[in-house]
Formats: sequence, C-alpha cells, structure tokens
Amino acid sequence: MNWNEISYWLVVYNHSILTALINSVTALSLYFSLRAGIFNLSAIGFMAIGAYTAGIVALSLGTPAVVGILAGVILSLMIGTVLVYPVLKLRGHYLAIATLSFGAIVQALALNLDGLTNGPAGLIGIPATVRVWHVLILLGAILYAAWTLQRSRTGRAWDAIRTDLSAARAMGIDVENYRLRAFLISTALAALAGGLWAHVNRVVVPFEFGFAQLTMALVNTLLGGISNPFGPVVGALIVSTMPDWLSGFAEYREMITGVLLVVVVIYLPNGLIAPLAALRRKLSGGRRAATAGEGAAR
Amino acid sequence: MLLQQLVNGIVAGSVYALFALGFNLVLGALNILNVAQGAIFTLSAFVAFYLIKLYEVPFPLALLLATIAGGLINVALEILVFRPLRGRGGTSMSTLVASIGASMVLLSLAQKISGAQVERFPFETLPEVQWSFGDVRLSFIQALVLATTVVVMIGTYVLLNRMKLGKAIRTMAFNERIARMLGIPTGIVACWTFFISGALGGLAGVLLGLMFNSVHFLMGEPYVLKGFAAIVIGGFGSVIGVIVASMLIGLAEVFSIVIGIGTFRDVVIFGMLFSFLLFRPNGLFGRDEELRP
Repeated sequence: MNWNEISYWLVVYNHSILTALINSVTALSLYFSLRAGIFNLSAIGFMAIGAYTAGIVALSLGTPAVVGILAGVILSLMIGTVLVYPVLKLRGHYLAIATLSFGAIVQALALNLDGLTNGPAGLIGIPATVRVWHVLILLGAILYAAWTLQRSRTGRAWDAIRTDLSAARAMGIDVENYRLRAFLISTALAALAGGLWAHVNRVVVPFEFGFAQLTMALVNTLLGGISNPFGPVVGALIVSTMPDWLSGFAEYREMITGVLLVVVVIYLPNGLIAPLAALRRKLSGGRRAATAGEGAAR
Repeated sequence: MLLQQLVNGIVAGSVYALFALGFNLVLGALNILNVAQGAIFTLSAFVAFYLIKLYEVPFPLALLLATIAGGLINVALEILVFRPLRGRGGTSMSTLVASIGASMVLLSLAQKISGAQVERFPFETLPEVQWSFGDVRLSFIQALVLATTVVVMIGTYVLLNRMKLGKAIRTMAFNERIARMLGIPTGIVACWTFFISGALGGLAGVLLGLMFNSVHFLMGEPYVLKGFAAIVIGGFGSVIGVIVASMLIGLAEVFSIVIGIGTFRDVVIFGMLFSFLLFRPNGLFGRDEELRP
C-alpha cells in the first residue's frame, strides 16, 4: 500500500475513525465509574450537556472549538458536583435508576427548551474543526492517566471499593472521597466526548443521547472489559468499526451487539481484554499473578 | 372536564401498573431489574396484532395467546440468560447488563418482523361502545383496561398472600439460599415468577397497542423508564406502592398536558423519580432500609 492509497483510505474512513475514537473516550468515561463499583449510567446525559454547550458556544460566539468544549466540561463538572453527593448515597439498582433518569431528564429538556437547543431539529452547522490527531492525542493522554491511576493508590482503592465497599471502609479507605473522584472523572470525560462529537458531527440532535446510545456505550465498555483501561478502548474500536469490516453488520447491528453483550457478561465477565492480559502475564513470567484488576466485572 | 381527565389519567396509570407489577415481581423475588420486560411488552403486542390481522383469531383468544407468549419469552430469557448468570455468581450489575443485551436482541427481532412499520389493528377488533356517566365518557378499551387492572391487582394479592407459589416467591425474595434449604424448588419457582411477570408485561403491551391503536417496535421503551419510576416511587417490593405510583404517573402525565406543559411531561415524571430517589429512596410504601439491595 503506497502513500496515496493510505491517504485516500484515511479520507474515506475519516468519520468512522473519529467516531470510533470518540466512542473510546465515552467508554473510558463509563470505565472510571464501573472501576470504582459505581453503576453510573449518567454518561450519555453529560455527553449531551457537553455537546450542546460546545455547539451553542461555537454557534453564538464563534469561538474556536477548544473554548466550547472546555465550557461544556466545566458546566458538566459543576452539575456533577451538585449531583454527586445525593447520588452516591444510593446503592446498586437505585444508583443505576437515578443516573438513568438524569439522562432521561437531560434528553427531555434538550427536546423541549426550543430557545436554547432548537428542539427536535437540534443545532445545525457547527464547524467541523476537530481532527483525528486531536482526538488521538487526547485519548493517548487519558489512557496514560488511566494506566497510571490504576497502578496508584487510587486505583487500588477503587478495586477495593468495587470488591467490597464495607470491607474497604473498614480498611480505612476514604470510600466517599474515592467514589466522588471516580464519578467526577467520568463526568468530565463524558462531557469531553460530547463536545468533541459536536465538532465532528456538525449537528447535535436530542435523539443521539438516548437509551440506545447508552446501551452501545455499555457494550463498548463491557465487551472490552474493565479490568484494564485498554479494555474499553479495544471494545469501542471493535464495535464502532464493525460496520466497515463486517458486511451485513449494519442490518443486524442490534442483534449482534445484544448477543455479544449477553455472551460476554455470562462467559467472559472480564471482557475481551482479559485473555490478552493473562497472556501478557504469562509471557512476563507470571510474577504478578494476582493483579489488581482480576475479577473486575463481577 | 376535570373528572374526564381524572379517568383518563387513571386508565393511563393502569397500563403502567400492569407493566410495573411484572417488573416488580422479578425485582422483588430475584433481585433482577429486567429491562427486557419492555421488549416483551412490544413483542406481545405484535403477537396479538398478527394473530388478529393474519389469522383472524377472535380478540379474547388473541389477547390470551399474546399474554401467554409474553410469559414464555420471559421464561426463555430466564433459562438462556439469567440462570447461567446466577450460576456463575453474577452481580446485580451484570444481570442488568445482560437483560439490556437480551432486550436489544428481542427488539431487533420485532424490528425485522415488522419492517419498522407502525401497525394498526383492524377496524372492528373491539366493539365501538361508549358509556356516558354525566360528563364522563368511557370507551370500551378504557373499561377493559380498568377491569383487567382490577382483576390483576386482586390476582397478584391472592397469589402472593394466599397461594403456595406466592409464599415460595416471597421466601425467595427474602433469601434464595434459605428457600432452597426449606425444600422449595427454586428453579421452578423462578420460572413461574418470570412467566407471570412476562405475562403481565405482554398483557400491558396488547392493551396499550389497542388503546392508541398503534403497534411499533419502539413502543416499549418509554415504559421501561416509567416502570422504573413506578417501582421507585411506590417503594421497592410493595405491590400497593407500585399501583399507587403508577396511577400518580398516569395522572401527572395527563394533568401536565391539561395545564399546558405537556411537552415537559417526561421532565415532570423523571424529576419526580429523581427527587424520590434523593429524598425518599424507600418510596411511598417502602419497607425498612435494611431490606434494600
């Protein structure tokens, strides 16, 4: 393949590549919450806030993409900070339902606040200024941070909390503080993904931030596995690019991802990354056999 | 006028109640939040529609068959998805995710079968009868929904409090291991729980499809979220709570249209749900804190 073919290929698949990369950021957003044992489903809601803020700022002020995206992240963090205290008091199903209903409220507001969001028609004509390498650099930085975090005190605290919250508290871990951190990191990443998406897709419509999109994000995250920050990225890249390399996928998209989700949750609870991680451990002599991420999805 | 809206709200709430009761049963007995209930709701409506449209089955029989179909689909899910997952020690998170996956598969089936069309029941499926009580008018389907809901409510009460199966379900809700030690065949009881739950979801789906005379593959989605809302507002595991909360949700919907904020009705309902979760997570009729999962 010579250089011309590569550049042609890059132009043709530019949008798919960007979509896959942004889906990876969303998957990492879910990863941080799940890693700390918080079944937080608010990612799509914060993504919508990030996307709408970026879009509105870009359209009304004409500032570069960075400003709008940052504004979206900051606004989401502010809302997240208010939300996090009551939400983290809830457990299990209740937390899932609360965060899910937050997403539903955001979507319903986006549909109905016509003056701000232009209702069902959405925001149109946002400049497509985000390039592949922008997202690549961001994703690399996030992955590096996630990798460092998982091997740090914070990562070990998250693993302890996810495995057994009461035991972690009894060990003297500041459970509330570490859960709060995970939640806010998730919030910021979701808003970032939303902002980037607004500047890639040029259009922000409320229907892109519903239950279906949340499901896809969950599939991406859990298919890859949350025992390792590379898992969600691998999952997102595989699922998002499937329409391009699997013929007939577009037609059976929901069915295939649904079956994958069920099979992975039952038979491969640590995701696709688990066998790879096990292989890596075997190659490196199995010295760290009891890695922190073991049994992450349970 | 006000009275008419009250009736409309209660009828809307009745469909929510049928749906949420099934949801609540599985959640209470097995601690599974079965999102696929929304897909069963849709599939049963399609079963009834095709039976009536293509095979000209009389309506009462079609309603019965579609209800049974809903139950059987749910039993299939229990055997194919939830039981293997329980056997492998799945958490509440992994069961919720698995049910989302199952729901995706079922919905895409419905989409494939229907070609994503909005289907309508044939014109004379139901008798065109309407009763008037002063200003209040009640159509046949509204009366049918109300009657079904009353029957189901009494049935659920009798089942849970008077029948052996109901007692077994309640024991499992308390603790599955203790239920097994007492000699309760937990596998069979779980299947029955899923069957009843799916049948209630299916019944709600057929009735809703008839009420708005439209059946399409996305009709179940809002019901999943509002079913969650009914369970939380009513209080986890409380049958009366779920029914009262469903009525509240139906009334809130109708009255937000009356006072002119109809487009914001979802905001009102999910706002209600959210504030209940934050300020009174046990709901209206919830039991003690320690019984929460």
